[in-house]
Amino acid sequence: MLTVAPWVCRSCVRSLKHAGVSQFLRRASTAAIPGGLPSSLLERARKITVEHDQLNAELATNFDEKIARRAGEIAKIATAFKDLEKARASLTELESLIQSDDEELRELATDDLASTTAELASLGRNLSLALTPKHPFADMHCLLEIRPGPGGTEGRFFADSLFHMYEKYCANKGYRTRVVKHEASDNDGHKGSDGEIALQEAVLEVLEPGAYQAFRGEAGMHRVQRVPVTEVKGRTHTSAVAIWVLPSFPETGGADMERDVENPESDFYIDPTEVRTETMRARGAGGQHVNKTESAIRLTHIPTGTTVSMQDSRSQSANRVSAWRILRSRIAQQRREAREELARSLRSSVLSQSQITRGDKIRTYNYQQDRCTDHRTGLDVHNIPNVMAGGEMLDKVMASVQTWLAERDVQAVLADEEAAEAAEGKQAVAK
Amino acid sequence: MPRLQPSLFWRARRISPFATFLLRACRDLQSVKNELRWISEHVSQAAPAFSPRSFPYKTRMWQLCERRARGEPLQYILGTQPFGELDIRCRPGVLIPRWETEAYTLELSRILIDEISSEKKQPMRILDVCSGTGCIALQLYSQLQPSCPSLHVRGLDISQEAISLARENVVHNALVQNPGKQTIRFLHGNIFNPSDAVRDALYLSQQSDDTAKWDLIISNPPYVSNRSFSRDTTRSVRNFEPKLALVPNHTHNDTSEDIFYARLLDLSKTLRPKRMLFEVAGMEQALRVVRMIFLQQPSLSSPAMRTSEKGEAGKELHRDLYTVVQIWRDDPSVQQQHAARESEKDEVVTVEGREITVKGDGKVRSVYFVGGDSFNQFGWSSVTGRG
Repeated sequence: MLTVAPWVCRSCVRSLKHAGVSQFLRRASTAAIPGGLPSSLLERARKITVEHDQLNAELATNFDEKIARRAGEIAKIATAFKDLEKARASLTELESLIQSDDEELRELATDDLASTTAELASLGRNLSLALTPKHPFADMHCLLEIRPGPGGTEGRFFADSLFHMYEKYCANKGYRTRVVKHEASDNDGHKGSDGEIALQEAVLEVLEPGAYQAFRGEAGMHRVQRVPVTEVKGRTHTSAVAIWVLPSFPETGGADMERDVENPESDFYIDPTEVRTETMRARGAGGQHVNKTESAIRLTHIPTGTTVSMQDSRSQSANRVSAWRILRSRIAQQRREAREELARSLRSSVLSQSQITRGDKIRTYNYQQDRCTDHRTGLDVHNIPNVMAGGEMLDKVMASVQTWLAERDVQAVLADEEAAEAAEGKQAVAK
Repeated sequence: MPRLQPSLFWRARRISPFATFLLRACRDLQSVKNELRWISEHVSQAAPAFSPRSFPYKTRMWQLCERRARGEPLQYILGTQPFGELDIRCRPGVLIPRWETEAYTLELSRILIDEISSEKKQPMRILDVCSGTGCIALQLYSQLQPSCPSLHVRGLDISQEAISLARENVVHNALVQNPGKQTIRFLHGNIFNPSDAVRDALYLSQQSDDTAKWDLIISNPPYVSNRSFSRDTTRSVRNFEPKLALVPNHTHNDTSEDIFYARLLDLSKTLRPKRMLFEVAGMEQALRVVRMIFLQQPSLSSPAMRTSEKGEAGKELHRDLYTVVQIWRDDPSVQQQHAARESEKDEVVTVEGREITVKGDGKVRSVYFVGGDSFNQFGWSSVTGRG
């Protein structure tokens, strides 16, 4: 038999041995699920429903406040899951009816099929809403910080393009925005292909409750591949821009927001003695003797070494206020990330490997191929001009990231529960 | 002034042709970029119809940048200066509000708001002497307005130009007044030689309540000495801002730069305000003012009287008339960040046997003092025999 086999290149045989096929596959994580829900979600919902039934049975025999509270908490999920199961059962029934010989019955089934599918979709949405753990900052406004990666002017130009992309996206969506900071870099006055300036750092505030949730998936490195205007030989360059998404307090926050800033337990609390303030001091006597216009201010959070400098406004006090806001947001984000990191280290190693952190590239904008790819969801969209204008293509990408994030959150919760169960099991064995 | 490097001009030229103009006044690229942005924002706000590439826009930019290159303050060119949350109009002939003034005014309004909430609800009266653009008076008024149902702020200035600008600023900042309850007025007058109207306002003679007193007398008077004016002030201040607002009695060369403080303290003997705050040039002047407060040495009176008031008993009494005497630095709200400062205790200086707290960070900028009970009840009339 061996002699009949056609000749195969030796290196190809060797590569087959390593099962290297997987490297050509894109890590698309949205599996095909009944009812448009990830399987992990369904599994979790099933578990919770079983728990709910058990608790109800217990409550029927003897009433306990603790159990009643827990049952109340998960009742919503259980009913949503039961409704979904019912809808799915009726769907399978309908599908079998369609196969039947009776023509009248078949017609009825087709009529019903459409409405049942729609119902199934909405029920699925309900369930996922009930199940998805809510991010603690989800309801907040957000700050989008845009910084070019290391490298030449090209990255700086693209940073400006991204800034305008998000600005336009918010305008299209009807979100209110405010430019907190938009600082050009020092070196020259060149302009990019669309009249972009070389950006040093920009901060865009999205003044919309829930903006943090909407933009959370945008944090990370955004890579661009294009031929820069400054390139004379027509070579494609690759540069990167980092985007950070920080939670921010609304300026006229409610009483609880104010308290949050003052509360030492809160993520947003900063001890004023830990912050060093630097202002551009005029030389000489000051006061009536000089009349300076510099209003720059720099805050340094000493324990973490985080610095924020602001000089956009003519008023120093206005600069100070925005610098404090940005500093608070950055520190809160850092604390949150540190906690998430800790939680991740406790989980199984498989899940933590698939984690995407701040340093990883999350999206590529390829101008030559007119393509924008999100590396987490594996979604490709075309029509780069529409993406850069913050149009529906960008919306599509961001929506796909949202579902990816939600699924990841659920997985994290599942992993946590598994870890807790394993720990309990160990304890039981030890006893 | 050290010469600017030619390379700096080339780099400015690459930013914008206008930047080279601004470099002459700003002297570093970062502030050139900021000022250029503020000027172009101002131009596009004034004429939104013109694009930045159009001829009228560029002409206007050129005009403004050239004025700036000659050293004219940006605040006079743009016509405004932000002051806290307010936008204060500025015009040649009236001193431009400084950020140091803003810092201590904001700190003071925080203190006042705290005290209002602890005190009974009673009318709050604030007097701003040498009000200029009215920035201090307006700032205090707008800060205190929400928490103070009865608030009366008065500004006094010798310059008619300043008074009309201050009145304009009330309208410009859309400050709401409530006749009889919350008012802000500006008066034209000379504090050394008050007219009857000014005297009435100062002594609160129109008030039905006899016990009516000023809760705060605040002043940013001219305090630059003649010598300091020619040595320490920057060119743009010397050439473009009014000397009247900088140097006391600028027509004579012999008067002291502390003359306003002496006059205000003299007035305080009869007015008996609860709190006073004066802006000063630096530590030396601050110490002179504090000493003046303790000795209540009226510089205007005869030398004979001065010696008589320096008596030991009198000094003791005067020193304890005030519950709080503090010297504030540029940033009174922040902790001092000098490397030398390691202990948690506040920095103090000793004047005439009493320890004075020095608050904040930066250069010494103001003197703040609060009268004690004895000061407010018996006042100076019983101590010095003056009425």
